[in-house]
Amino acid sequence: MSNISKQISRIVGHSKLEVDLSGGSVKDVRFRINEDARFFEAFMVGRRYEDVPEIVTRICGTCNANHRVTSITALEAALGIEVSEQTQLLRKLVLYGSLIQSHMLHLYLLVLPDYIGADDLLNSGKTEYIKRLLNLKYCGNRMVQILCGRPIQLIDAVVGGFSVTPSHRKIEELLRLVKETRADAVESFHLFNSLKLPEIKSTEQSHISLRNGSEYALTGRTISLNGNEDFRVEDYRSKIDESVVSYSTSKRCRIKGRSLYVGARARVRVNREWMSDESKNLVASFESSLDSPMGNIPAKAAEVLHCYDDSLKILEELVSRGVREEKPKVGVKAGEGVGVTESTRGTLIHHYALDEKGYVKYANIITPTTFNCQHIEDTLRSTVPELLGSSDMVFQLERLIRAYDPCISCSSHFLDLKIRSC
Amino acid sequence: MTKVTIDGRQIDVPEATTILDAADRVGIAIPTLCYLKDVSPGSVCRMCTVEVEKVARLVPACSYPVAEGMVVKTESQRIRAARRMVLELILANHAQKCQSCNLKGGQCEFLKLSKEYWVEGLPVCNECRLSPEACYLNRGILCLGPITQLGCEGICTTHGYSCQGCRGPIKHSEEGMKFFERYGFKIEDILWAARKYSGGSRYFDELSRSLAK
Repeated sequence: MSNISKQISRIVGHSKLEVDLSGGSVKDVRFRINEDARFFEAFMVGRRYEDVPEIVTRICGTCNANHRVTSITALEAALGIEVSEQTQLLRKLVLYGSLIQSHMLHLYLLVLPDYIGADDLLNSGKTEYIKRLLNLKYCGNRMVQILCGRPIQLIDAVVGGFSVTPSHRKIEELLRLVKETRADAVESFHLFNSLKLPEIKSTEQSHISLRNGSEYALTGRTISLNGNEDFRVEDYRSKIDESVVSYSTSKRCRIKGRSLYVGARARVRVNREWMSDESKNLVASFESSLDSPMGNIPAKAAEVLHCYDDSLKILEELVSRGVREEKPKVGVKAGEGVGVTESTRGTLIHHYALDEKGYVKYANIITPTTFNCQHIEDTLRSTVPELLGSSDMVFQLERLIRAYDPCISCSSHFLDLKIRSC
Repeated sequence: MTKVTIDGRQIDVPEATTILDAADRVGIAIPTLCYLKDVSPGSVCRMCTVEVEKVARLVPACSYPVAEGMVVKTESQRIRAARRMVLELILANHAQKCQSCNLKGGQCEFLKLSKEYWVEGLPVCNECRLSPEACYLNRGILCLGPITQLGCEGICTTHGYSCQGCRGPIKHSEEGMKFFERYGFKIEDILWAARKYSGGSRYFDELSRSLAK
């Protein structure tokens, strides 16, 4: 069975919550992702390494920039390429842009309607929220577009650097845009921090995030478990157990037999000391809720503000010292490499092995939702008995799952609750 | 003066004015290709066809004079279909010329109209902004532009990336495939590249099967 399970690939789409109540008590709770297997890892085998970043961007429409950058990092590790500091800065900006637009989309369109008593934001009449969302979303998209040619399915970021270096004028435009919309990010934080979040505790508190000891890590070579136990990204296979459950097409991940969560909440817990000053102060205002899955919501909003502050710093530096024209240089050889970045929803792992001509021999991808799946299910399992009998149980459970932001961004009406009772 | 109604708007125009000129006065643009102002009301290309009430056939607006009480429609399903047909007929004899044409890159009226009327079968090359010297095919790099549906404005090619065919194959892929032969690419290589996005299309599916035999 193990070789078939490898071909199961990533998920964007429909999921289902099943609660088995036969016999009057909670027998079983299942969080099912029942999207068809997508075989991304399988059909990359046999293709040239250049095709990989392009194919993986098609995994997801919201966080395609993260997939692209992660696959490039992994391929560079396999080919033994060191990129320039400028490339690293530009890549960080791409990740920030992706994070800003994706976080805001999730918070405003998927989370907010639950708390303002509306079915969806666009028909709720809250025009000021919609305007703010569009401003922030535009800024994030524009950042990716300026650096990579297109707002989605980007093209300029390639193995070894950037195929086209963004012009000085474009960087200045970006700096202006980031300055203009920063106030919206601050207001967004206050909005999401003021939401009355339900008190749901999760029993399991394990979490992982990248950590590199010098910055709020979105890229790096060290993964930190609970902020106190570090391991190198190359060792991910021996640390993380991937397993398959019969009822879901997404794999499940555990560390030391325990479920874990990833995402903004984990990042804030691990990398808090490197956040920008203002966002660091804001984190203190919701610190107590970080133990709850709902804490992901203010954590995301604070993270966006950090992205803004750090982007401003990077852009100002690029403007003052100018962007140098660089051409990527790539030499092909056999090798194996792991690349990890912190994407919108959490730690994203890409792993490739290449033969001496540069053809992919092996590919493995672990997405954040694969990590979160088991944690979602465990939290649901402990929450359902408490909520049993309350009239809005379905709503409350849905709200809980949404806080995790599983990558089912295509649809906010994703959940279909089935209650079986005899 | 003659009173006519164009798309529900009434206007008085001098006798013997053409429908095209009358429409122009009320700000309704009728697409033309062969028409040259003050030179020739060609009525050759038939791009300017419009519907006139009580006239069974479609008439060319560039040469058809207005008459008292005439009611003209410049947009309808029937007109759209007729105009698309006109474009497709021209295209049947024109497809591969865009490569060497100086107008490419957005100033070509025919290309503009083809997109507006959803003509199928136009490849990415038609809107690619690279000069012939910069063309990937001319440099010996496989680019799927000739067999890929346009609409992306050829953005990848200007960003240092040859066309990978992500918008899917054009209607007559076999015509585009002939194009590759001139450059001496092997059919297996083209197929391998095209499979990335177009493997499910009928043409490439059949081609794969026939090669496998």
